Amino acid sequence: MLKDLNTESLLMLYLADELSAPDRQVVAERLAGDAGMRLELERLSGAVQSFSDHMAALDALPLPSESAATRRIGMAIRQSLADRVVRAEPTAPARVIVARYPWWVYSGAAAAALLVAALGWWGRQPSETMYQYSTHTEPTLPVPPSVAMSSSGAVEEGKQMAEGIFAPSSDVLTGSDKAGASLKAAEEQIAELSRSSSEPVPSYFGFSDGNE
Amino acid sequence: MAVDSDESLVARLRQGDAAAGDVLVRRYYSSLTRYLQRLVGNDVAEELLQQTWLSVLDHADKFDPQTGGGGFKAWLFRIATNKANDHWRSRGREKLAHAGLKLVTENEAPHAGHRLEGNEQAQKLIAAIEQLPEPQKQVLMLRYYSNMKFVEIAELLGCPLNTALGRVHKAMIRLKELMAD
Repeated sequence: MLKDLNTESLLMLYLADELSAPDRQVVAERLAGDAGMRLELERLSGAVQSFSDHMAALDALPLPSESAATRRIGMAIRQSLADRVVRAEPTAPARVIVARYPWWVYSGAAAAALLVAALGWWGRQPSETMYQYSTHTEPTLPVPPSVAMSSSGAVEEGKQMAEGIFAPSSDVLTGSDKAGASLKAAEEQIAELSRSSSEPVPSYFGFSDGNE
Repeated sequence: MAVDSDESLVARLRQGDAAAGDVLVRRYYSSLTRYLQRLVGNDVAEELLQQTWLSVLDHADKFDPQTGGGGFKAWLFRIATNKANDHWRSRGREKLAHAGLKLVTENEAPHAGHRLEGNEQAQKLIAAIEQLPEPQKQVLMLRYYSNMKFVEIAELLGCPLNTALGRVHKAMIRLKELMAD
């Protein structure tokens, strides 16, 4: 280290006692043989001592209130620590709604719900056909007043028979021959009843019998 | 009762223990305050002192006791020195100082912040220190107030040991001359 330092630097380290023992020995040997170097050391030593004395006097002067200053700095440190904590706190993450199913499932479910609702609404509406059935009244046979007056009992009997004929029956629907026979029998009975009355009774089916 | 080391206090401060910071501030209050007062004057020293400690807090995570010499004290005085350099730069004085111009003439009144300080001899010393070039003043005050070894000061300032020692030597001789006048 010594070879990198000039004389002033060596003397500064020598005075400060910051040389290793071997280096200090080397400098001491140089001082012993160099009067100019000894003079420089003496000058420097005086300067260091003067500086130290003056600085000691200067530092004897009181500092600004230590308690106030340290308290102020302490508050600044606490504020900085508090700010750091606030900055470090994670901000509440935005609520991310993650779809559990693909998007088309939700669309399909919505469409299905609408369809079910529409069907439900439609099912609760009285349809035209149902209305017709529900308001359907069996046609009443026009009974001529003469028949009603002269032979109301016979006419009623015929009416009932006709109604029996025209009532929905599996026989009527399934057996055309049997239905035709019943129809013919009924017409005959009606015709007979008509003949027994004073005035001819029009056929229920819109044609008159042969007496007319 | 065992005294907490600087390093352990810094570790606690790093974890948010403000009380550890209080201990450190009190421990170095006198030396650091006077160091800054000598460098920048009393008025600015108070502000730079607070900035220094806040900077310590901000960079506590980067402090490594194993790196470099001098431990926490050297690190603390390096931060304070940087604050003073920033102050000089902001005032445009550093350029003048490096150019070797005298910042304060011998007949000029001492810094306003120093006027309240002490007796005539003290004021004379303050005025003499003011006349030193900033690099000389810096290394001289570092040596006096931090009590670090010259090797550590040279490392702190980032200059060769011979340079740091040469500055101190010149500063000492110059101060003695100024005080003898």
